[in-house]
Amino acid sequence: MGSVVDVTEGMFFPDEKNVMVVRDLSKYFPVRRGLSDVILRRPARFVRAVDHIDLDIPEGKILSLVGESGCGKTTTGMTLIRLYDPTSGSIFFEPKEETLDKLKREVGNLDIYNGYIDIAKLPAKYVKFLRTDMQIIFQDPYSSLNPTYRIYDILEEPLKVHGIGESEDERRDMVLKALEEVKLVPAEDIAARFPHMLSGGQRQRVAIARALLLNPKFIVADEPIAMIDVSLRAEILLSLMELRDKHKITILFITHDLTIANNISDYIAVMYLGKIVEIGTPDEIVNNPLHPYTKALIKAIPIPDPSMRNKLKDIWIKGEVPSAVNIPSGCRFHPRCMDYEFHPEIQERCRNEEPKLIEVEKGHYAACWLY
Amino acid sequence: METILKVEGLKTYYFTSTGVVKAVDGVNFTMQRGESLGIAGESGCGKSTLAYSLMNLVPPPGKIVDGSIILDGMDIAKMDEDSLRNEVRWKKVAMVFQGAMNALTPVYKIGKQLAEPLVIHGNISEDEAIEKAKEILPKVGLDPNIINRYPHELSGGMKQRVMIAMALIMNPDIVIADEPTTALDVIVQAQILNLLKKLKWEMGINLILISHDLSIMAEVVDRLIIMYAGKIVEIGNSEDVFGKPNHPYTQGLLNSIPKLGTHELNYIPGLPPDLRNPPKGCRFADRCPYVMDICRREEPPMFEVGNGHYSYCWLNR
Ligand SMILES: Nc1ncnc2c1ncn2[C@@H]1O[C@H](COP(=O)(O)OP(=O)(O)OP(=O)(O)O)[C@@H](O)[C@H]1O
Ligand SMILES: Nc1ncnc2c1ncn2[C@@H]1O[C@H](COP(=O)(O)OP(=O)(O)OP(=O)(O)O)[C@@H](O)[C@H]1O
Ligand code: SF4
Ligand SMILES: [Mg+2]
Ligand SMILES: [Mg+2]
Repeated sequence: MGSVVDVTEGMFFPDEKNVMVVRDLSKYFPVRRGLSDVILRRPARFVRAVDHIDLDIPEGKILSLVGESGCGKTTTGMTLIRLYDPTSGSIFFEPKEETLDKLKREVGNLDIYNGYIDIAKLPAKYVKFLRTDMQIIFQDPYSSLNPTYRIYDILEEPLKVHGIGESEDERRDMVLKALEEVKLVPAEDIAARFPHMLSGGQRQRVAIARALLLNPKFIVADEPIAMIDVSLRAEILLSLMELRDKHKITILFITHDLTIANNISDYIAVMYLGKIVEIGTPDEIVNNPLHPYTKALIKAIPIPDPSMRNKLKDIWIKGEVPSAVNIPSGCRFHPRCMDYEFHPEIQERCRNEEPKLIEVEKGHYAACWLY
Repeated sequence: METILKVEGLKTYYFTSTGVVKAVDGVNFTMQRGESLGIAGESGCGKSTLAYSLMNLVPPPGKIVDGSIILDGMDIAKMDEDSLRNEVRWKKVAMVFQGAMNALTPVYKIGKQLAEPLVIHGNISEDEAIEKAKEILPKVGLDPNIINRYPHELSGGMKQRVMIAMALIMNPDIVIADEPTTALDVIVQAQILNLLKKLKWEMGINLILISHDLSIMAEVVDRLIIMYAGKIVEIGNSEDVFGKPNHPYTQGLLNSIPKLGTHELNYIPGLPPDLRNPPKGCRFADRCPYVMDICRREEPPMFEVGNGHYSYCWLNR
């Protein structure tokens, strides 16, 4: 078929080359129907976890996806690397050359756009070929490593599965090198241990080493420091930044903490109830937030300065997050929006029309009728 | 100033099959009426164990092995179970337990679950507890009818408000909130911290806030205790601890807080010691950038480094 649209041309970061270009992507989960739903023949309902999003992911950069619990961050990450099958939309991804060759051989009619393929359309049985290119690091370092295996075996397994490394010796070298890469030294000593003999921070670095072993282009790091002590978090973050700088690995960093996103990312995307509502550089997002939701997130961040403790903190948002099953009409944020309160002239639009992500200032995008 | 709580030489150990975990190992501090006190430190340093000790409710194999906890002229550390139930728990000292909001069982209504700990540890009937809960719920921003709902119908923030209401039912003097916002989003966290402040101002609650997150402490507490490996390493007014941190551990912790507007990332290399076998001198010595010979030989005593500001570090010798 081929295509005339140049999908490698992103829409958000003109100065970047993108490893991934996501267009109109959705992931809905069916809500379990109760007996009364069936009897009354109520229509099936869906959790709209990811709801028609556009995103570009620049190569060799860290892009943070930020938002409150349940807004769809994990679902986005899992869908982008095809751990979930998308409901609709496209994910154009540029695989490694050898992966592309393999896919060309295996898949009958593979559409290739400038070296990119739409992995959203890749039939499930070929998804395994993407694992050498895309990996995920999970939040919980306690459950993500099999407790009955030694670290060495945990790390060697993916190499065996993907037929990487000619001999046992070669694989051993790769495993030890990966441990050294994330500063788990002496690597031989660490490799011989079981997960319970490591601290949470060390385990999380094992998870990073495991993701690294297949030499992926793209890593989704899903809240990798949420369960790690504050005093040790920076160590993990610095490891991730080193992967970016030394190996040009692209990272989608998922967090609910804007302060951390601000510290490690090149770009930030803010998500609310299945939608991306703002995209920009960390400095822009933090110093000049455009979307009222982003403003609320920033105002709520606790500040390590005791001089304000005798006042209540100003909370720039109303109520609680609605369910992703009954998404409000128009701008889905309007029932909670403070700017809505203060701008009667836009209220009708906010209630009825969904705002699109537009470039409000150079390189800074927001989906809000204020702009 | 009126001292409402005085803890001296407190030791609480866990007697496990692999050794004795010295989770709280010789802790001294006082709390004045009207002040909010914070207890901060890394995971496993003994914050929750200290909190449980203040209610004399340490779960087995843990035990208070030494020291005193003086409240209203009584020594809670030495009281028998009956007096604790009748006079202390929930009535004088109540607690919002770490992780409890996620331990609500799905099968019972909120009201029943709210009443249960009070019935067990506090000599009050279920009906009475539920009646009292109805009065308290509006104070934490909830509709009293919530007692007829099930946990899955509530958001995380609402569940935590229920837990706070539970602590308030018997009108206690001291409320301990153990990591009350750790599982919550930043906006809900800000709402809960505002609620705790309001309760303090409006109901005269003496709050003890426990958290590993120093930013949260700064938002709420007047005085701050920094714990490391079962011991207090620094204690002082918030202004002093944040403005002039004395102990190298406190300095390291403050440095590890990621800040908006900077792109600096710092951490404290190394790990805390095993509490079954803590090192003999200063427990922080292995991670301390300023470690000296004496630090490894002798435990640092308490040094007064400012007005009401104390630090356990040999650098002040
Ligand atoms: N496997 C699933 N089946 C049904 N619903 C799901 C599933 N996974 C997620 N959801 C729902 O989709 C929405 C988005 O969830 P998701 O886990 O992606 O959010 P998140 O932003 O990662 O949240 P958190 O910060 O809590 O990890 C939520 O409403 C969630 O309940
Ligand atoms: N029931 C128990 N049996 C044995 N050891 C325990 C028990 N409970 C806690 N400990 C140990 O006591 C020490 C202090 O634990 P505690 O829960 O008081 O720490 P904490 O500062 O509250 O940590 P966190 O921030 O993770 O909540 C830790 O080393 C812990 O492993
Ligand atoms: S006593 Fe010594 S080792 Fe301990 S904190 Fe002070 S300088 Fe560091
Ligand atoms: Mg998630
Ligand atoms: Mg605890």
